[in-house]
Order: sequence, then structure tokens, then C-alpha cells
Amino acid sequence: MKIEHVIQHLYLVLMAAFFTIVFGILFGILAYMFPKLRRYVIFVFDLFQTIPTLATLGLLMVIFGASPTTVIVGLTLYNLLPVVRNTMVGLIDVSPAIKEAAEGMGMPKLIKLIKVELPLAFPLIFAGMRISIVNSIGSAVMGFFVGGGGLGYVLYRGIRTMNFRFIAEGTLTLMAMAILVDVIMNYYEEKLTLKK
Amino acid sequence: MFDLDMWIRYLPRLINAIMTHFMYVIVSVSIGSIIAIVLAILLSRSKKMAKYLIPILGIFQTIPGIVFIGVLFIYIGMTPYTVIIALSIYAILPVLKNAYTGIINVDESLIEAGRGCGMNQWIILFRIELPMAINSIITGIRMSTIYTVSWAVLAAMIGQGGLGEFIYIGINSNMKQFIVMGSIPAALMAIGLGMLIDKLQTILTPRGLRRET
Amino acid sequence: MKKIIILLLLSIITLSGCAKNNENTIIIANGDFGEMYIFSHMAEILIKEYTDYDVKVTDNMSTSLAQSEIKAGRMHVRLSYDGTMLATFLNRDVSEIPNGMSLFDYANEIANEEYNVKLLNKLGFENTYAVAVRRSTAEKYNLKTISDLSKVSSELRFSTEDTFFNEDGTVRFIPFTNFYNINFKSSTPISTDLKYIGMESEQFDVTLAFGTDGMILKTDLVLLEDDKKFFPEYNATYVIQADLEEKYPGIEEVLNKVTGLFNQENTIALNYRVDVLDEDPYTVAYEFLKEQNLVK
Repeated sequence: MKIEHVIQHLYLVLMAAFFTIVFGILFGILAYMFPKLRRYVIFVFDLFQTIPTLATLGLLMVIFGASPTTVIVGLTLYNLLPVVRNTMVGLIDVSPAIKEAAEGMGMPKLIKLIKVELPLAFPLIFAGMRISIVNSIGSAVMGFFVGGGGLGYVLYRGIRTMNFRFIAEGTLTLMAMAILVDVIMNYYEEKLTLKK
Repeated sequence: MFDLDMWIRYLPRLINAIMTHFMYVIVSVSIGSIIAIVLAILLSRSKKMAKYLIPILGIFQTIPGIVFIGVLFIYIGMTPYTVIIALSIYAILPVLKNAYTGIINVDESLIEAGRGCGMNQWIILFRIELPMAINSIITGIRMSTIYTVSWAVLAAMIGQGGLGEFIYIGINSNMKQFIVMGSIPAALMAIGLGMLIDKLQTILTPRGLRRET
Repeated sequence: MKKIIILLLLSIITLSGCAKNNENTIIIANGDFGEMYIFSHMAEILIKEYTDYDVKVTDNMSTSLAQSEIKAGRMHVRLSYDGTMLATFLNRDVSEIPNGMSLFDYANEIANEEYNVKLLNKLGFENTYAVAVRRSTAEKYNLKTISDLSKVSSELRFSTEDTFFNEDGTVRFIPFTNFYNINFKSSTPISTDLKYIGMESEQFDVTLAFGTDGMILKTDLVLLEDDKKFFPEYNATYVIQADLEEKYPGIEEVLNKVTGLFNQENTIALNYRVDVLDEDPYTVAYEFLKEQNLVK
């Protein structure tokens, strides 16, 4: 029974991570390309983070019902900010000299973005992804309240039935997951930064 | 969709919840920050210890709130103190990380200069290191505050009030209005406190260090 | 190559046909908590043992979904409670029960007339709210009924789910304490998850439990009798399509074999095994029936 929940949990986290990366980078690029929008973009995603996770999930549950979809959407919204902000800042921080050189070579804006700016900004983007994913491992626990299953089920069931084995197993698995992901991504993050 | 009647009916209770919630946030972040800053100062003197201690404290953060409150309340009881102790502990890490980074990143040459002027380590701490690190420290406090507004909903799990009351009842009884009544004040509180701290940061940062965001 | 593809397609089509339900399968709508799982499987085992009919228990599903499936006639059997049926399936209020008629009979009548659904004989236990105290508390104050409790309520702390403290509804804290003239020393809401931990660690003395919750056994609580009958009845019973007997002669007798075999105690024990000890509901159901000599 327990493995099923670990897999469920990973599913929620990975699905959310996928959407967070896709939309996070997208909005980060938008914020970079349209300086006037920056304040608003950051404000909106900051907002998602300030609403308590449980409240966001509760409100989403009204729309999507008690299902994993609610949890995935909620986790994505909650964790977009680090990726958006880091993408934006990463792109801004690319050395002006390089940007000029690319323009000087006659590169169209889009190609410049894809071939030059994004790769250079990637270490920072990756750092943002890391914060998001590690955070969502913990937040996904609340998913249990809104029909998402996952380790939240093991944890709350353990607490409800005073089953200390469940509580220990659930908590330790969560901690292990978070630490493992953090350490692995940290390793790659350092490698990427060194390359620069 | 927006049920004005309900808002009016439950307004006194909502205001009560907001005030309780606010109290939890302010008290816990204050206690947590003070502990964090003290710890950061101590750890900055022993970077080796910091390398192990900070990740270990980070592990505490991954313990789900309900487990922590559940264990605490068995020993301390169903009182506001249980909530404050739990929230204060959670509030430490964000401040600690930032305060520590801020302090150790203070330019060595400034400290040298201070020593050269005959300052002892306490004076260096209070007149050079802390002021230079204040930017980082306050950023950490800001993060901690916003997280704590979110975590303080846990107080309702042991019946100690706060906006969690509305959010949990809303989810358990399937009453959408309650969820909204709980989340909007929480979001506003977090945004408001965030802006307040931003203003504070501008005032407290030594003029020479002020950056345009 | 073409032949292989055609063969593959044919086998897929045939296999998927097999996977689809046999037109004549009796479908038992499952629930979403331990007690429901146990009784769903109990019905399944009885039907398998005493008839030749095909039977299947669905995956976990919410009460509301199960009720709509039964209303639509797509599912045939389900464990339910007369009180729940009345309130949520039939949409009637307790006050509408004609004088002298039991809730059970009234619910059965409306179910039959309006939804072509029927309640079988009562199983013997109720899953209604029950006031619970620790055994030590019950012994200290010699508590057997809620009226006993009201006499010493000023010395006791009460705590239960926050929904009980809501302002609207009849089965709530204020109506309850008024009805029994109770004045607790303190009353605090608590999350369902922490309720039994709180009782066990003596954070409070009185709580409200669901009458057949397995945790009652684990925490060694004593349930006080609702002597003045404040809490609504929730007699457990199998709910079936009214014309099920026509399509599957003998089915009612089979399902009624467990009538009256249950009470609060043994039901709590069954739930305890599934919810607390994490045993498989099918096994628990089977072993019970075996003990009752209803299966080999």
C-alpha cells in the first residue's frame, strides 16, 4: 500500500514540475521581452504564493473537483514564482556585450533568445526549478485533502489512527525525497554554474 | 457566487480570526527572527558548524506542519502557546539562511578596517557586520513572514483560531464561501506585511547600500 | 505482416469485449471508508456463495456518486443507512415522518414509491453520532447515558470536529447542549485527524464519535447512551433496486442472511481491523461470515 502512495506522490510532483517549468520559462521570457509587464507578472505569481496552499487547493477543488488535477494545478500555480523570476532575471543578467554581439551578427530576436540567451541563463533557471520542485514535495502532502492521494494519505491516516509506523514512514519518505532531489539538483546546479 | 449575506453574518468571527492570525504571525516571526539572528551570528564565527547545522535545520522544515503540531500538542496542550512554539521554529530557517549569508558576505576589508581602528568584536558586530547584512536579514524576515501567514492556518487544527478556521470548515463542509473568507484576508495580510517590510528595508538600509530594485 | 495486424486487432477487440461487464452482473456500489468496503465485500461473498449470479464490487466511490448510479439503475446494491437515505437520497427532513411511523419504514416507503429502490432488513447497528469518554472517566463519574454526563459536564472539557460547531443545522453543538442541559467546562474544535490523539493524551474528556469508528476500540472509549434521543437514527441496511428480486430470484433472502447479526461492538471490531490494523476488507468480511457459519 505504501509504494502506491509514494508513486502517486511522485506523479503529482513530477506533473506539477513539468507544467511549472513550461509555463514558468514562458512567463519568464514574456516578462523579459516586455519590460512594462514585469511588475505585473511578478505581482501575480507572488500572489499565488501568498495565498495559503490549502486555500488555493480548496478554491481549485470547487472548479476541478476532488482529484489529482486540482493538486497539480495548485502545485503549479504555487511554485511558478521561483522559475518565472529566475528566468526573467537570468535573461536580464546575460552580459550586454554578448547580446550586442548576437544582434550584430544579424540574429533575429527569437533565435538570439533560443540559441544564446536561454542557454546562458539556464543555471539560474535551474536554480529556480530546484526551489520549486523541492517545495512542491512538501506541499503535495496537502493534496490528500482534495482527492490527490499521495504521501498525505499515509501521513493523515497515520495521525488519525495513531499509527506511528505510518507517521514515521510517511515523514521519513517525504524528508528523504526532499533531501535527495535537493542534493541531486544542487550537484547539477553547481556543475552548470562552474561551466559559466 | 459572492455571498454578501454570509460575509456580514460571519464578520465578527472573521475579524476575530484575522486578529488572532495576525498575532500568531507577528509573535512567531519576531521570536523566530531573534533566534535566527543570534544563531547566524554564532555560526558566522564557526563556518564549519554552519555547514552541518543549517542543512539539519533545513530538514526540520520538511516535517509536515500537522505532524509537528500533532506531536507538540500532546505534550503542551491545546493552547495558543503550542501554535506559537511550532510557528516560531518554522520561522527560524528562512531568516537564518539569509542572515548567515549576509553576515559572512560582509567585505573582509571593512572588518579589517574596524579592527585597525581598535574596535572590539562586539562593536564590529553591531556597527559593521549587522548593518551591512541588514538587507539580507530583512529579506529573510520578509520570506519568513509570508510563509508564516500560510502556516498559521495550522492553528485551527487544534482549535486555536486564526483564518485556518474558515478554510478548514470550508473544505470539510464543502462551503466555498468559507474558503474564500479565509483565503482573501490571508492573502491581503501577506501582501500588506510584505509591503510594510519592503518599506522598512528601505528605511533601515544604510544609504550607501540602497539598491534600485 | 498484414495477417499479424488483423490478428492483433481481432484479439484486442475480443479481449476488450471480455473485459466489459456481462449484462447480467450484479453491481455493488462501493463506498469510501472502511465500513463500506467491508459490507460491500460481505454482500459480494454471500452472492458468490449462495447463487450462481455474477457479481462485482466497484472501485471506491463517493456517496453522492454511488447514490446517483443507483438512482439511474446502473448499480444495484449498496450499504447505506436509513437516516442518510432520508436526508440525502430522498431529500426529506426528519420532521416529515408521519407520527407513529419509524424513520426506517418511512424511508423505505418513499424510496419504493419514488425511486424504485428498497431497503432490506436492518443489519443491527447504527452509525450515528455517539458521545464518547475515556473508560477511566466513565468509571470515575459512573457514566452510562448522556443524561448522566450532563450532571457532571461542568467538570469536563469537550472537543470534536469544527463542523459540529457550525451555526446552521439541527445536529449541532448549541442545540445539543440545550437539549441535554449541558454546560461543559470548555469546548474547542479540533481537526478530525487529531481527535483521538487528543482523547488519548487527555487534552479533553468528551468527544463525539461516529458510532462504529474502529478508533473507539483502539482508544478504549465508552459510548454513552443517547437516552433522550437527540441524535438521528442511522440504521445500517442494504439498499437494492426494488425489482432486483425479479431479475435475480432469491437475492433478497441471500442478502438478508446477515440481518441482525451485528451490533455496535462487533461492527466496531470489524472496522478496527480495516481502519486501524490496515487489514484487507475482503478478508475481514470473509472471516466474519466464516465465524457465523455462513461460508465454508
